[in-house]
Amino acid sequence: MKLKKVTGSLIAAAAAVALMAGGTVPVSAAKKDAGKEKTVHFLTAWNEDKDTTAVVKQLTEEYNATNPETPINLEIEVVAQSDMNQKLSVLAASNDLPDLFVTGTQEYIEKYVDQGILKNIDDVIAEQGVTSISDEDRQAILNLTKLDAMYVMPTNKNIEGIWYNKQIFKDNGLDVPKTMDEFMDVCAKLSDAGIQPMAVAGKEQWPLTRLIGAYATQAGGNDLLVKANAGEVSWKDDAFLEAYKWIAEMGEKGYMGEGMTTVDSDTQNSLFTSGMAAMCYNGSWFTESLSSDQNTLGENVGFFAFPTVKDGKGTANTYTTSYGMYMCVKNDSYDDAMGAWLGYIMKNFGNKGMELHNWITPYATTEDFDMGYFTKLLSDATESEGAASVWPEYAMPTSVQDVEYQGAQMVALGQMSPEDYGTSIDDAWAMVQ
Amino acid sequence: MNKVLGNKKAIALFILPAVILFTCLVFIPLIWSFVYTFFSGQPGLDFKFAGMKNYARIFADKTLWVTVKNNLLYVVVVGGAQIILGFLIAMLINFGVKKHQNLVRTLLFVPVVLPGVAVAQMFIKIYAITPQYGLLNSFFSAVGLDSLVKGWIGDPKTAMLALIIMDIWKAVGMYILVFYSGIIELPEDSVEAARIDGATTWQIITKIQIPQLKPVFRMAIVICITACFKVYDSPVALTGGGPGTTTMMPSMYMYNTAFNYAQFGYGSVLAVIILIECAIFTFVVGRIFKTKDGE
Amino acid sequence: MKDSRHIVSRSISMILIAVLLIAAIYPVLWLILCTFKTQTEFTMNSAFSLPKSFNFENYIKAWNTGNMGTSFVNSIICTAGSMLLIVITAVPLSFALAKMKWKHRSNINGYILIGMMVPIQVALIPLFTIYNKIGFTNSRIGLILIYTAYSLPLSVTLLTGFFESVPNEMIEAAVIDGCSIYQVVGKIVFPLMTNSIMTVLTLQFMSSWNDLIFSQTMISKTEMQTIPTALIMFNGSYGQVDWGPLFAAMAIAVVPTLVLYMFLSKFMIRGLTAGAIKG
Repeated sequence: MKLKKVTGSLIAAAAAVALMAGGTVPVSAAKKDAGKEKTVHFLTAWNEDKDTTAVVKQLTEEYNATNPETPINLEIEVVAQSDMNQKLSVLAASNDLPDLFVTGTQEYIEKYVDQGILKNIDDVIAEQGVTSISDEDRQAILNLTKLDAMYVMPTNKNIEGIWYNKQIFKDNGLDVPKTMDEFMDVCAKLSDAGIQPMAVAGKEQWPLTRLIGAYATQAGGNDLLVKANAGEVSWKDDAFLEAYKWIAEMGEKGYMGEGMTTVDSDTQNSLFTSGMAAMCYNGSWFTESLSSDQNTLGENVGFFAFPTVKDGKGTANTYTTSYGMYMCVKNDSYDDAMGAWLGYIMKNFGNKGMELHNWITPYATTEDFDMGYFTKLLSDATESEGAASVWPEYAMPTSVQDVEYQGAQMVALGQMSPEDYGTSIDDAWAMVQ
Repeated sequence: MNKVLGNKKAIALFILPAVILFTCLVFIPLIWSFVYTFFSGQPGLDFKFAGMKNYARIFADKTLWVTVKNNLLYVVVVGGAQIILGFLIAMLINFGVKKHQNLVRTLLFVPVVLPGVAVAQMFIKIYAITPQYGLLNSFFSAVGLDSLVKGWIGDPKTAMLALIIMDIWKAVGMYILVFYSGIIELPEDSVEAARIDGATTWQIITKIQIPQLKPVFRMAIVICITACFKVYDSPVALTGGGPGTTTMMPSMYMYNTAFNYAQFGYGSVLAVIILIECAIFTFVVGRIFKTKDGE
Repeated sequence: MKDSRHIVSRSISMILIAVLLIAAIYPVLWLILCTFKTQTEFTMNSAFSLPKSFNFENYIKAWNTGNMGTSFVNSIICTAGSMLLIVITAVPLSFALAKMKWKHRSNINGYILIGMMVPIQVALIPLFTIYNKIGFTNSRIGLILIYTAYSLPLSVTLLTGFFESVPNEMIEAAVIDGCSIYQVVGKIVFPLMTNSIMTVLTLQFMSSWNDLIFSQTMISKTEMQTIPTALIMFNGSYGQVDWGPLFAAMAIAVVPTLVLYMFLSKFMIRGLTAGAIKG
């Protein structure tokens, strides 16, 4: 009797679940003329109210309003950035990549291009008459992706440098340092005054390598990193060793704060915006935090380029420049409808990025915007005589990058010698087939 | 009785649904990944047959052995602690709490229920040194042990310990539950008979209850240790494998290799290594328990 | 004399248990307090500080951003489905492995055990390929099958372990009384094992409810998403995270787990007393 009751309820439950599970689900808003509408599946790392996704979404809405006969139905799928490679791998294995997706991993882009999976964006630009990307930026992107044509759409133009708290500098009688000696002097004075000189997100590893890279560029010249990534220069070159020694010194003297390797990006930014740390190496993306309520410093913030190094071959006012995560288009999905839409996006990305996030992008703006104080700082910085540089990992296979990231922490903690660090990176390169 | 228990039709009915489901969704993908170990590159992109190349690479791969070493330490300490503490606390609840046993058990189980990411964030705050001292550092500072104040998850010497404590805390509730379920199902009569014979509580525990719990122990040990060999979420969320590679685990290295380095074949080899470790261990445990039983 | 020793050991146990309880509960309280904090409060203020105000802003943001309504329903369907399926598949298998007599018993046992020894990430590509071909991606039934299949090793190991402690005499007695094998399982064994089955169900609930990796891989349509995928929505760029809404979303996700666990625990007690009477 009990058995019957139990099985009876089990069967009923099973039926109910099966019905619900296999049941049809309301299809996402299909427009009236389903034939004319093009659905674009967009795989991105940010939700629709953030970052690039917000820009693309709003631009799509505007495009649909001005092109009611050929609307684009944008289906957004969000995957955590750290899992993006996994998702893309799984999809690629089934030949099922999305129509539009976001990625920053160099070696995958190369593989996709080799297999003819990606649409050549230069063709789109030519077809659609897009003029918003400058030759300079285009060339930089070609160098960064190591391809002979543009197969990616950039989303940002970030320049990186050192942000500083003007009030703290003023209170302590400090000037903006132009050379490394001046910089170390500033750090020493701040440290003596009981103020944390620099906030560094050591837990995330890449902020450390950015600092190392910036120093190495100043010491060894603007093409040092390019050569090293091409295998022409060893990662144990003197310029690199100098850089590694410097980061170790920064760590040892405590100029990067206590427990630096426990600090993540959020905490790093908060340390700076709350006034607890005097400086912070960051890129243009920092303007979003600075413009938010979290910033208690208001406009008491300044920006300067990484200092020059004694006897260094680098140029003053060199800013590491990057183009954000890239958007890639699947070749098989591309058609005229998509082309028109992408053309619209590329023509208006500059405006929208500035409007929503105060972003400077490689897409020219066609309207005048009030950039906001912080973006203006960056804009002014790039207008002065200087140079753009790459970052150490820009062309590194991820397996090498991980070794470089991990070692950076150890060197900064004094747990690994500069020579060993350089060797580990060289070895990792050698292991890449 | 053997006829009833040997009823072939019933056996088939009992085992087939599970076995079919398992074979299709677990075993076949497993074999498939094993085939992948003989290829290099990424499936769908540039997959090429590579013979034994991936296997040869194991020996030159220093990072792999670092992760294996980290993992073994983790397995022994965390695994051991979870089992021993799980058992002891379950016994404690059984003997020490007369009313509200259910409530106590539920509350102790709560950490198990929390998402790993939340637990990791909480422990990051507990271990924090900047911008404020977290719980742990505040405590040390308050009692005058300033030398112990440090960035726990950022220091190569203590990051592993920080991870270990977090994971013991998180999962011990589950083993309390498992042992408790085992303990309450123990027959009362042997205990009563022993008491009548004048045995002390200690003797009852060691000579009667623990032996009776052997199947539970064996099962808990296998589950716990295989989970420890495979651990992924906690180290990724707490330290990201850092600083350096001091808390990196084989499954994290495997994930990075398979997906971030676009070397799915080699990643599959790493999975095979983890599988072999678990298999060896399970075999050894099975042997230990068998000989003791004399089965 | 015996009494005072008894009281001392009792008190010590109580204290120990109290400490354990605090250690176990504090985090949930911490989580809930965090859901009321603003971003700056969370990052900069001390971990034990109380939130400045008890506004529900984070919860509202969490619900809307994370598409919680749909995710909740999907999570419930997938989790309930897998819980049902695991009982249907694992219990009979475990009984057969623990108590019945047949030739390949230990082989099948080892076979299922292998499933517990592999990190699941490596199965993703083959599994997705299979699902893609048969059209099971973006389906809840697909997830249910995966959750069940991948819990089989653990569930079967647990259940066989518990089954082994069921005394053979009871089964013998039932057989002598003329029960068929189905009656033995249904009338004798199943009621005794309620406790263990509830344990398995709880674990199944948790692993399905909190699963991210399978749902992230197999599901790409927003309307099919489960709760853990909703939690990603709070990630910003360059490592920044909206902590307030994220924790609020987690709180929303955790509450059913706790409620279900308390509910199931009560059930376990009933199963207990029934078993004790029979035993």
